[in-house]
Amino acid sequence: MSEQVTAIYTADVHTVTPETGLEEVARMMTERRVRHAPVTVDGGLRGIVSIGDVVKSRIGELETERAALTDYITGTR
Amino acid sequence: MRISDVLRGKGAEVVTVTPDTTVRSLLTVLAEHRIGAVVVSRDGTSVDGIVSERISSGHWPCEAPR
Repeated sequence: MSEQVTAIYTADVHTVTPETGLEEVARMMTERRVRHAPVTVDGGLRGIVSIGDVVKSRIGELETERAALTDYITGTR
Repeated sequence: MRISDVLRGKGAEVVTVTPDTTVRSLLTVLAEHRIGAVVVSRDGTSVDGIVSERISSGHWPCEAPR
């Protein structure tokens, strides 16, 4: 417990940028089996996204799309 | 949707620790913020690594009983 975090950390970090698409990040997390991705701009830290954030946003996106399609088909508003 | 949309919803705050932080302090930081991972950064801006609540058994910091 008195060891430094460098004894257990991951130095090979895959970062994303604010412009990276949600689908791409979801795919990267699945392929690399990671749960967090720091967000950087020109090497500077700008945020972090977890797999939970990505899944939540993806579900919201899909639900909005489904509602729009249902409205289109049934003609309800 | 892009990552910028996700960050707009949750904020851009990132908890970082310096490389010389002890594992004990790390656990306190994770518990205080109720988060699963922090970025390891020398200056709070660079990304030098990432350390999470889950670590593989090969990296377990405690010595295995013999």
